[in-house]
Amino acid sequence: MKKFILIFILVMISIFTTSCKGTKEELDKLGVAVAIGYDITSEGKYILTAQILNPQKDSSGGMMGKKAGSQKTATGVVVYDAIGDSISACKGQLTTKLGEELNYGHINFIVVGRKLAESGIDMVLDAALRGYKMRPDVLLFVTKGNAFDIIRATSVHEKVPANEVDSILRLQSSFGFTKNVSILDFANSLSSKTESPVTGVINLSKNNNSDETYEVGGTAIFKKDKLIGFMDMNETRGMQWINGKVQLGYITTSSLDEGKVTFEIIRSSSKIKPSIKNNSFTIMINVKEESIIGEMTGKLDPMKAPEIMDKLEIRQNDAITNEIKLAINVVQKKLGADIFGFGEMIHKDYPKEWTYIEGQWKDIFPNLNIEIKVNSRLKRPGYISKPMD
Amino acid sequence: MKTKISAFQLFSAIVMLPYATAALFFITPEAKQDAWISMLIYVLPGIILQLIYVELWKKYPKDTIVTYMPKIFGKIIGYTLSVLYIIYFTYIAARVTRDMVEIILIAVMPRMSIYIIGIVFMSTVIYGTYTGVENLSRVCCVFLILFVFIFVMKWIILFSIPDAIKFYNLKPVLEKGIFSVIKEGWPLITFPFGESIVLTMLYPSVTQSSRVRKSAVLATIFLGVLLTCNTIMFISVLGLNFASTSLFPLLQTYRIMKIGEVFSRFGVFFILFIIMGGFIKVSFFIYGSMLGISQLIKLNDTKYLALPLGIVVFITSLLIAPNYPNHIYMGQVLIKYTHLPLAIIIPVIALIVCYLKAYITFKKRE
Repeated sequence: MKKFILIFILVMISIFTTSCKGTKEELDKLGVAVAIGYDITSEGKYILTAQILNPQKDSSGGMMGKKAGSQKTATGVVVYDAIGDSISACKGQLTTKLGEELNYGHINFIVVGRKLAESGIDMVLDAALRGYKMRPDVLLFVTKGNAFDIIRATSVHEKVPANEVDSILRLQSSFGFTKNVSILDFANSLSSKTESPVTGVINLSKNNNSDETYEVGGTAIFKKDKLIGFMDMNETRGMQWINGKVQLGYITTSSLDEGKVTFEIIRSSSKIKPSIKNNSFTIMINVKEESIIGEMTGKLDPMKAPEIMDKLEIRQNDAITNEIKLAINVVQKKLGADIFGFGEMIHKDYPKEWTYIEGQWKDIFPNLNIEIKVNSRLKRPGYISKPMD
Repeated sequence: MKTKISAFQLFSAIVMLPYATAALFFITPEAKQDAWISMLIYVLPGIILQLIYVELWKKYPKDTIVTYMPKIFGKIIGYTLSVLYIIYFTYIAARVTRDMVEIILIAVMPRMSIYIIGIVFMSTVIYGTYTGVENLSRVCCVFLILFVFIFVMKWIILFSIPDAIKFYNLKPVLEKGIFSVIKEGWPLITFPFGESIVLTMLYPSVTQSSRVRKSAVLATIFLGVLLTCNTIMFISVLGLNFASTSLFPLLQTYRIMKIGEVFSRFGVFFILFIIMGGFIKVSFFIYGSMLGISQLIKLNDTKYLALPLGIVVFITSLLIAPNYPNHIYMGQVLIKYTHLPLAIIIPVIALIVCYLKAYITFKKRE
């Protein structure tokens, strides 16, 4: 009898405590967001745009073919927006349109509009980190226009446009034209006194036949939490060479004779080391790269004369060095922002000297001596050796 | 003592008890990126502390700390100290219960009623302590093996995510010198390592009395190693600033872990293990108070005190702090005024008094 009562109590407790008040999470009562955008109005109010999954549209709503003139494919998401004095006020205002509470568990990225980035994203970051539903590895992006355009855009390939952005992001993390920065990385850079946080950039590009596609490329550079400038695609790749993140892609330079040659990147890595030379700090950047010939025009025949490969390697070194110099130029001279964390690296290796120069890092960084050494290897010419012509 | 536990069960209890709550937090953020060094250094005082407890027990092999205090200090001071220890154990049980409930409220279900979570948690604890310390120790053994397995899994998963562990976050090593590290880390001797004083109540129950000292010392070293690796994990994965400012760095680390695309919500799953660890800790502390009370008032059976003590602990856990920051602040303040005297100073004084007494009787005999 006692056992029966005990089991009965246990069963009752397990039934009643699994979905108590406030924690009801039925699938169709959830507003599962897959992408969120934040903007700011001219009066300083926040606009939140959310791409919410629409679970009923599971019929073949994706590919309905293009209608003449307009692009309207049925998607598996619905976009809502809301205005409020703070991020949380927006979430509250959203409930006037959306009958479900916003669920952040499946977000992969957040987009911040340019105006909001310029005026400071501290509230966005805090709302994201403090909340218990958003994972710390959600990626942060800035757009040159308004975030709600990005969130509202529909995509051709996918029912859920956010997934298309995800695939672009995943590929780009190897191509190096943007940097995938999570809110955790951003917060860590922000809390450092000398490092400048960066985020990736996402835009919409319109082709002539009015197809809007996502374009992920470039970097947004911040000082503290305010946007101060952008880097374009090539400068971003220069930055990613320094970070050792370029694993795919192509480098095109002029060949040894009158043609052009493209190298296909197989892998690369980088080592950054601060050192002291002549009483001041020098940062030595060492980039190692391996590639094969992608395309070539001209009359060179690498298989007949292997020293051509060596000379092409020198060309490649120069090309990579130029890209890196582009990035460093923007960061050092134009913006004065230490996005690589050189200051923190000096702190880690030379803590005593760092205590003297930490305060003046703002002035030291633009004139910091940076030595770049690129060591690239050209391994194979592909299927053919001499260009056919 | 009628209860019997083995030396390995004592070992697992000494490891699990502090680890259950110490693994959640980033202890000594003042030491910054050298927090792991201070943890490693403080294993030595932890070992010395365990040796002091074992020495005290060896003088009175059949007594727990509650019963040998009156024998050392005399009736008035001794009994007062015993009562103080019982209150101390109950208070820590209430604190840990509050911690567990707050974790669920902060990380999983913020809207849940604090009473329901507390009652469900306490019911399991009450039932556990009602069944007795032998059962608790056996459960503790199993949990220890499970926790070590999860610990290894954590590291493997973190290594499999590219760029998750950044060992360079641990640099600059010993930036402020080793003395600063030692100075900033002194609360460590009370928070992880001093809490095992409750297990001195269990020493008389160990069947292989000769292995008590070895188990205690080995357990402290093992605990120190586990916590050091934990601290290294926090600093290298989360970065120093984020690890210092987040409330539960362990949970944040879990939220970053994922295997492929499918298994990405480890955080929610691992909260289960955190609660399991908390369960063991609260059960042992309540058992400590139960045993103490039953020894003071000469009760034969300790089982029936489980329910009243459980209710007292539950109510205390609700009353001790109005909000979570207050709760944490009280913990840091209390280290100086309760943990330090009760866990460290009084046993040391007790041991000195013991030696003095032995010396005086030796002299008298001459």
